Amino acid sequence: MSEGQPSWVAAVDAAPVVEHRLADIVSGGGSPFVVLTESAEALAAGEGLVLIAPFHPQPLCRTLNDRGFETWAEQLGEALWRVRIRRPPAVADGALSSGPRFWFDAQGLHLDVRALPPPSPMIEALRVLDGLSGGEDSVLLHTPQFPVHLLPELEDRGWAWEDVTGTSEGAVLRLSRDAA
Amino acid sequence: MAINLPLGGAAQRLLHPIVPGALFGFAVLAHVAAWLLLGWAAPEVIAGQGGPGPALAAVHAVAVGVLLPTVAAAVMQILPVATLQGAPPAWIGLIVFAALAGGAVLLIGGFAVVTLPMVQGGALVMAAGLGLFLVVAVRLTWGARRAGPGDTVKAVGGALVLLTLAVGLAVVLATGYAHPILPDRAAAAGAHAAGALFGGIGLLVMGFSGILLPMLAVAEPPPHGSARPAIATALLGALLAMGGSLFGLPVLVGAGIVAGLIAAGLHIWLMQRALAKRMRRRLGREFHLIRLSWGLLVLALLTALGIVAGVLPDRLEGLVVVLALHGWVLSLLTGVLQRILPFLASMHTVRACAKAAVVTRLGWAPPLTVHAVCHAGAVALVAAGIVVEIPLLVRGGAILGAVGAVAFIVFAVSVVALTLRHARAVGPKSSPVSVSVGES
Repeated sequence: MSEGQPSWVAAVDAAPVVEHRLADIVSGGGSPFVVLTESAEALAAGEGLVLIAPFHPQPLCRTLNDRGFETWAEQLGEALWRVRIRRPPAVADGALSSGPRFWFDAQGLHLDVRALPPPSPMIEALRVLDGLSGGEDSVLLHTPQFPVHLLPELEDRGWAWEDVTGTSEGAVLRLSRDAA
Repeated sequence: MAINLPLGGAAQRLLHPIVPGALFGFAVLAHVAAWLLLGWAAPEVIAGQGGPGPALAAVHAVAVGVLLPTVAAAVMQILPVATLQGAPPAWIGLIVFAALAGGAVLLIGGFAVVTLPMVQGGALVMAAGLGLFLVVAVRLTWGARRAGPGDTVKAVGGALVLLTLAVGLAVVLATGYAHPILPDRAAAAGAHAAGALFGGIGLLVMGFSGILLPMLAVAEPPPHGSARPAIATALLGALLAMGGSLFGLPVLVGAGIVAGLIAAGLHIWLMQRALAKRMRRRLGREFHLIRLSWGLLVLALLTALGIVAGVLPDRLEGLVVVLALHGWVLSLLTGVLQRILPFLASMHTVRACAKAAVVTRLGWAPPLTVHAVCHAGAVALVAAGIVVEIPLLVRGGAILGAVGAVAFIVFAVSVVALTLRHARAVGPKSSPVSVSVGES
């Protein structure tokens, strides 16, 4: 056991619900962020999963920590990290459901922050975008109103934006990484 | 490509632009007047003299000329947008503007030319406008609780108590010019200043900073309940200072100022903690002014404490007021305004234009640099002039402040001009395209 390692890590290592390899997700055309957050959301209280990655996915861990999950990353070698993600036993399923929602359809990856109270939509959107890997170059962002304050931050992070449409329930922006 | 974006429910959160335009426009004009009046009042300010005259006009130019219209516009327009509520009808906004602006002109003018009927008339008109505005403010602030800043409700509640007391004292003071009813006018004026400035304005600043500053920095507001100690301490401090001043008990005034210092420290610590976790990568120049405002608030309170403790001469009461109003309040307001004006303009481009304009492109930056340099220099010069008793220094500082205030007007005009240019460049909205809005 490495120094400071929480006791729950051994239990997850012994019986992970699933073990993901980042390279397999990417080569399969999947979105690592979506796959891993969906896997984490599917965990029952006390269950955990393992991710094998060539780097420490800190933005992903931070996002999951913010949503109440526990994470522990350990470097096993050069470009080899083992990350454990666990839903704590004390946290009920519903308690973690207040974060952003994701889904895929023919239009691509959707990130929906409409259900969050202000000012969380902007903050959560930026957290998630900061956590996306380089493979995810286009996102449809659903917000409760047009996110005027978000636009400079998106541009600062290299995301181009296009206002796509609006509904009575909010606004939608199509975000894409700047080629430059 | 079809580019269109209905405001996503925010259309009803936007007042007609004439309302915030009028309120903010009045505030930036009063900003110039506040500095010029300060220069005119240099001998009185140095001597720490009260009573009707240009010094009181300069003080009220900041308080009711710049601060009140800005708070009214922020509450009626920014709060609905920031907390997803419906904005009040435009006609209410226009009545509030007419009463606040008309009352302010009469009050400030009346003090400046020492015409008491003007002062009394202005106070009445303003009180009517404030009454209507407070009804709107209480409804919106109460509705904002879901957005997290429940502490704002408590701070605004405390501010209302203190402002009511301070306005009550002001009415008695104004009436007393013709029919003296107060045994000690100076004591009542001191209590009015303590209650209105460090109490009412302080709690308003504390309450709305909890919403506005995190919004500007794209940060989570301080946790619910975390501002309660600061609010309670500020309220206690203001009440102690008011009571001590009214009844001639310097120990109480001193205790009130110490409580005010503790409240200011707690508030600044909370804000810094929230800003430290921001998502906005680079804070703009507005935060230089906001941080300067915090420093000047503490300096004003320390100076007041020095006077009460007998370490500093009584005549430096003028310095306390200048550090607080032209320093703390104006630094904070101009800092917040330089981000809010483009923000509001951008919201209106979302409603009216084919493509929304980015906040950072709606405003010409050089005037803001001129304003920041002039403003900081003006506060320093005026403060130095008061300390060394040189009216020329105070006047030089006031002119510098007025130059900065004019530069701020140039910035505000540039926001309007760039918004109109953007609207012409992208054209009006077209019809929307469809996108899925739920998981299939």
